[in-house]
Amino acid sequence: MTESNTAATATNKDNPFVIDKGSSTSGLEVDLHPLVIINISDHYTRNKVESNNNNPTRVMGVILGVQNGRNVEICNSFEAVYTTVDNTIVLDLDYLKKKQEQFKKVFPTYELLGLYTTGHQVTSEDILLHKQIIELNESPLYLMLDTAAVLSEATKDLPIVIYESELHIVNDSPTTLFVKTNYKIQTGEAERIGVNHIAKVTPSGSEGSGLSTHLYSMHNAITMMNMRVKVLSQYLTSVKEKKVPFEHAVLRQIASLCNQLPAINTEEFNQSYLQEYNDVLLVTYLASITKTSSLLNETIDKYLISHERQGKRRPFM
Amino acid sequence: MASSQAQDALKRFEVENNIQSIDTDSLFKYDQAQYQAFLNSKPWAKDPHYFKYVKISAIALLKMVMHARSGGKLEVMGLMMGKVENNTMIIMDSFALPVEGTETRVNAQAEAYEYMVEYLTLIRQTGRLENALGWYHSHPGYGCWLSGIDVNTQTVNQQYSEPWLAIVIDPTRTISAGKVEIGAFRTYPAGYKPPNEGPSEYQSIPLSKIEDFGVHCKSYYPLEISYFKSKLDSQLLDKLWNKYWVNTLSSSPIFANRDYITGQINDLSEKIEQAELQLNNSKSNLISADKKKEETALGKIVKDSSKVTVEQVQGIMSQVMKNLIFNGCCGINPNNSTPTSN
Repeated sequence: MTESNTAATATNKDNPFVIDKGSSTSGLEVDLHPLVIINISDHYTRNKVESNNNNPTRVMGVILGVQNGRNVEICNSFEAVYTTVDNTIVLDLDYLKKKQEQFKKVFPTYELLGLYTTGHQVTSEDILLHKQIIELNESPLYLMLDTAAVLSEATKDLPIVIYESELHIVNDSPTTLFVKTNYKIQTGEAERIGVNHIAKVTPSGSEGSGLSTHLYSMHNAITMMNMRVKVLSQYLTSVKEKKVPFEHAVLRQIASLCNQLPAINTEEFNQSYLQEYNDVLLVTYLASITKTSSLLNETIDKYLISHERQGKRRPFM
Repeated sequence: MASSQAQDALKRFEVENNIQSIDTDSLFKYDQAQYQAFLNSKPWAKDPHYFKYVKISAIALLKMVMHARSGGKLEVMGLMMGKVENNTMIIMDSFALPVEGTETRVNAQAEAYEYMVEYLTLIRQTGRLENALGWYHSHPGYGCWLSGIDVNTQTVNQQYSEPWLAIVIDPTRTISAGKVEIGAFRTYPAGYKPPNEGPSEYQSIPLSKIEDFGVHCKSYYPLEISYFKSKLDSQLLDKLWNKYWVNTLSSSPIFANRDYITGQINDLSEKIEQAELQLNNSKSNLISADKKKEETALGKIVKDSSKVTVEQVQGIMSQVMKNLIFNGCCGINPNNSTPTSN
C-alpha cells in the first residue's frame, strides 16, 4: 500500500468523502474470497450485455460473510434491487432481507456485511447508499470494484477497494466518511482449484493427469515469488548505493522476512517430512508391484494359452 | 521480464488446450423469444441424444465447486440456471439448495422445491430471466456418475421439466487431483437402447459403489463440458493472480485430503482381494471366455493404483519444492536436504 503514514486523519485531497489513514491504524482484518470478485464481474457483464450499450452501467449488491471480532471474511454476494427516486437510489431492503433469509438456510453462518458496487471514485451517492444498509448491519463495509481500471493495462493491482465508514465532524456537522481497509485474498482448497480451472481453463474430462497443470501453476507461483524477491533486493541495492532514501519501517520488514528463513527447521518437522516422503515412495512401490503382477499374470495366461493349444493339437495330429 | 515469460507460457498453454478467448460476452445475453421458440419446437423429443455439449460460466462453476466442498463428506445439491442454444446447454448461474445428506436424502425434492420456487421468484426481480436448467449434486470421493436414485430423479425431471441436465461434482477428488472433477449427464428415455458405443471412459469407483454404477451406467450419457468467462472475468483473474500465487504455494493436496487417500488405498486392497478370489475360483477353467474379464479386473486395479500414485507424487513434489526453497536455501543445516535417492 502506498498510503503515507503522516496523514493521520486528514481527508483525502482528491476526494472529500474518503479519509487517508496509515495502513496500520485500522485493526480490521478483511479476507476476500475470489468468488465475490467473479460474482460482481458476472453481474456487471450481464448488466452491460442486457442493457445493450457499452456505457458502464453501475451494479450493486450486498456482500455476505463471517465476522469474528475484528476479523471479517467476505465469502459471497448477491445482487440488490433498487429503485431510483428523485435521482437517488433507494435499495429494496425487504428484498435484501428475504434473500438473506434464503442464504441463511444453506449457509447458516453468513451475515450481511455490507454493499458492493462498481465505480471509480466514492461520491455522495455512495455515502447515501451506505447509510441505507446500516439498517441491516451496524457497521457495514463498502466494496468498490473499478471496472474501468480492470480493463486498462496500466494497473497491475486488483482494482478493488474496501471501505469502512467512520463518523466525523466536518464543518460542525456529523458526516459519514469512508476509510480504506486492507484486505487479503483468501481461498479454500476447492476454491483455489476452481479459480485456477477457470483462469487457465484446464481441459475438461478426466483424461490425463493434472501433473503438468500442477507443475505449471507451481512454476508460476515460484516465478512470481522470485519477482517479488528481486524487487526487494533491487530496493536494497538502491538504498545501499544511496539512490533511494531509506525507510526504517521497510528495512525492518525486509529484515524480519529474511529472519523467517529457514521456515521450519526442527527435528520433528524433518522426521514427519521424511515419513511423508517415504509413505509416498511406499505407495509408488505398491503400485509398481501391482502393475508388475498384472503384467506377469497376462504373460502367464498367454503362455498357458499357447502351450495348451500345442498340447491339445498334438494328439490329433 | 518474468511476467512476460509467464504470459507467453499462459498463451501457449491456452493454445495447447484449445481454449479460445473468444468474445464470450454475448453469451451472457438472454433472449426470451428465442428460448420460447426453442422450447416449443422440442427438438430433444425426437433425438434422445440431442444435447451434446455443456458450457458452464466461471461463476457457476466456482459456486458449484465451493458448495460441493462445503458439504464435506455429505452430499449437497443445488440448481443451475441457464439457457439452450441448439444442442448446447449453457449454464449461467447456480444456487445451492438447503438439502444435504447421504445418497437417499439428497433426493429430497419436495423440501427443495419450495425453496427453489421462492428463489426463482426473487431473482426475477433483479432482471434475470433464465430458467432452471438442471441440478447438480456432489459425490464426495467416489467419482462423477449417476447412481440409481440419480437416474430416477433425472428421468422424472426430463419428462416434466425439459430441458434438464444433471451435473455431478466430486469435491474430494477435485482436491486430490488438483483439477475440477465434474461430469454432466442426461438420461435416455425408458426403453431406449443406446447405440453400442465403445467402453465409456474408465474411472475409478469404490468397491461399495461399483454395483450401483454398473447397473445404471448404460441408462445415461455424458455431455462434453467446456467453460466460458467474460472479458472482465479474465482481466480480473489475471490481476487476481498478483495476489493469488501465495495460495498456490501454501496449498498441499496431501494434507488436505489424508482421509481420502487412506480410503483409496484401503479400497484398492479390497479390490485386489476380490480379484484374487475370482482368480482362485476360475483356475479350473482358465482359458474360458470370461478370462478376459479377470484381466480387466486386474487392469482396473493397476489403473487405480497408478492414479493414486500420480496424485501422491504430485503432492510430495510440491512439498519437496517448498522445502528446498524455504528451508534449504540458506544452507544452514546440510542434514536438512531432501532425500533425493529413490
